Amino acid sequence: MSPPNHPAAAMPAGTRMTESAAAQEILRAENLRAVFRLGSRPLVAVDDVSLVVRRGETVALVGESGSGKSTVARALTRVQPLAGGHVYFEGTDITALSERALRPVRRRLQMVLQNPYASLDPRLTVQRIVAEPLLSHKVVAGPQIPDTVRMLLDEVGLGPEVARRRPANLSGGQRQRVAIARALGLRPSMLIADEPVSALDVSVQAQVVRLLARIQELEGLSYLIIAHDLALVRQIADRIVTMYLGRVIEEGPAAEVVSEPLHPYTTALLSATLTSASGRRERIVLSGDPPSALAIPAGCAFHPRCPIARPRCAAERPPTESAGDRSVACFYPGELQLRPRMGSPPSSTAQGG
Amino acid sequence: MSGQAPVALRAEGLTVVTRRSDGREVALVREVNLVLHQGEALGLVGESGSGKSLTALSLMRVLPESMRQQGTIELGGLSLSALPEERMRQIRGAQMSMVFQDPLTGLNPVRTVGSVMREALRRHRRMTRRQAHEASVAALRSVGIPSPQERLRAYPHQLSGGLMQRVMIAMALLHQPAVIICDEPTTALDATIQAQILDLLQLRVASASLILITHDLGVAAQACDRILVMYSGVIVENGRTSEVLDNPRHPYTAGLLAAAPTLDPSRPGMIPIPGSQPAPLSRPPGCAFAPRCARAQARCHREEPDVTTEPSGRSYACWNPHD
Repeated sequence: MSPPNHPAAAMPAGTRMTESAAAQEILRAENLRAVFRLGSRPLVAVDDVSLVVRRGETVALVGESGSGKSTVARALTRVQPLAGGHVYFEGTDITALSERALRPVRRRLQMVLQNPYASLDPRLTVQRIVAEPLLSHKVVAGPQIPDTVRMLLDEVGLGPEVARRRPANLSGGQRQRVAIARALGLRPSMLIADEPVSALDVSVQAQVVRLLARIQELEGLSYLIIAHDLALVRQIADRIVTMYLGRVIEEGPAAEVVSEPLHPYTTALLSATLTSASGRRERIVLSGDPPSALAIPAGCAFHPRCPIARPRCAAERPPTESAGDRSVACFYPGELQLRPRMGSPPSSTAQGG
Repeated sequence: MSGQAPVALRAEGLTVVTRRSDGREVALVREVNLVLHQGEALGLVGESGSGKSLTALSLMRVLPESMRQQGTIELGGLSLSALPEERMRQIRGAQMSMVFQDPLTGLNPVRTVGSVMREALRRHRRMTRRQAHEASVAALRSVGIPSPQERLRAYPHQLSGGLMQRVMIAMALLHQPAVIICDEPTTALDATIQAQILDLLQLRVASASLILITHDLGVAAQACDRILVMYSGVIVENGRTSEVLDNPRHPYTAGLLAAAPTLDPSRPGMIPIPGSQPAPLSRPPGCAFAPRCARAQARCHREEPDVTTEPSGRSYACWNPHD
């Protein structure tokens, strides 16, 4: 399982951060803002989002639909234009780099998408799919391509016979392995994966998660994983960043956020995370849908659905407060806790929405 | 739920067969036996391709034309298997109804929610337009939809996924059916919305019996009294939810439980099951799970396991079950 040889990527000149910070951090996002226009109305999908991924670390970006988590992922890879903020990758500000200057960055920062059915060209064989980025980035000479593809497939646990097949003849798990092999071909230092296992069956999910962990261990990759399932995230991530309606509302080490959430939305999300062991427990059921990003509530955006909201929450937006390696944007952090599962009164239901 | 409640729905030997282009017949669901008691929520759990959705469609007798079904189905003592299609149409929607994963499938996007609901009501009952409108408002209110009058004027795509799924449940409940079959009703929804819909389904089980089809053991644990686990077209385990989840007999059930992520730091979680479920045409001889099973013995690769039933009523199809 020796990796194919690639020339080291030369980083383009850009704004350099301090050396020590750059050594620890592989990715830093500062005050990201992304706005869509729906007719004349602006939709603020991402508002003042900052996050850091350190080398060799797995960070999970968690939220429900409309939280802006996928837009953040697209902004970090420069697929989504930014209305504000900066993205630093391996010490370089990539926010304003030209497409040409971005090419080496795109090699080092790869993206894996949720749906391996949609992200693999159905007309191509696996051989062509995995070889395509190697050819377009000219990292491997033509005659070496078949060997390199075979090594990459082996690395993700697929036999060489898979190279001749097309996506339609692969299982969901095999397709996601092909997508990972394709991303690994360019020897990236970081993968951003948008819901990489949520379309897969449970038994196969665990296989792909193991694979990602093994690759990380072997190659020291850093991961930013976009996910919605807190149980999955607890198992695979070092740190969790929770988003709600375009903002980061809580951040911290995964084990701590899950065992002792500080933001009431994280608590509610945790309560809604069902596992076979959670049984018929009493839960916090939020009423209503999340508000539209076109009409984000004033104050704390979560207050209309929050079981512990007070007048202040509707009037003022809570600032992000940090203590140690945890941070939260709530006036009453840690106040809403999950009650014991047995013999507790019926689930509390929040008003509003 | 107690085992003494009367039977709402019973299926025996349910088998779904399709003919391939080369003329070979393949069984996609084989010999499924299922008993749903009144007021019970029964979970049909399995991964994609296990046959759980086809089982549901065959209970409603709405399989695609390329498939045919065998076996008997009884709804409250009435045999459905031999019923003419015209009678079956009266039963669907009225005595037995279905809710799908994607609430937008099967809905005409250019018709308002109200017009679809009024038609559904008037198909089975003599009602004026006015009466149908009032019944629709009441139905939406009963599933907790705020400002129902307004929602009835909306088109399906104008409502959120969670709201639309409430509408579909309201429609499934319109005629107080004896049985509702929900196929992955919360899979497309966010976790906090899933929690609302599961709460709603649990409240409604009081009046109707429920079959909940899901790939998610967490959902089944939350919402079901009893669980049937399917693998490769066959029921491999059947029992009370707590029995099956706390002490699985079949290695596939145990494997699914171990493969799921867990919030409990004292459990490892996410232990993969090697390999993948076989396609119906390449189903191995003997037990279909044997090639992936750590407990498989020589016999498992030769002979299909018999079903063992314990005194408590739980059953499993395995030659070498867990204790």
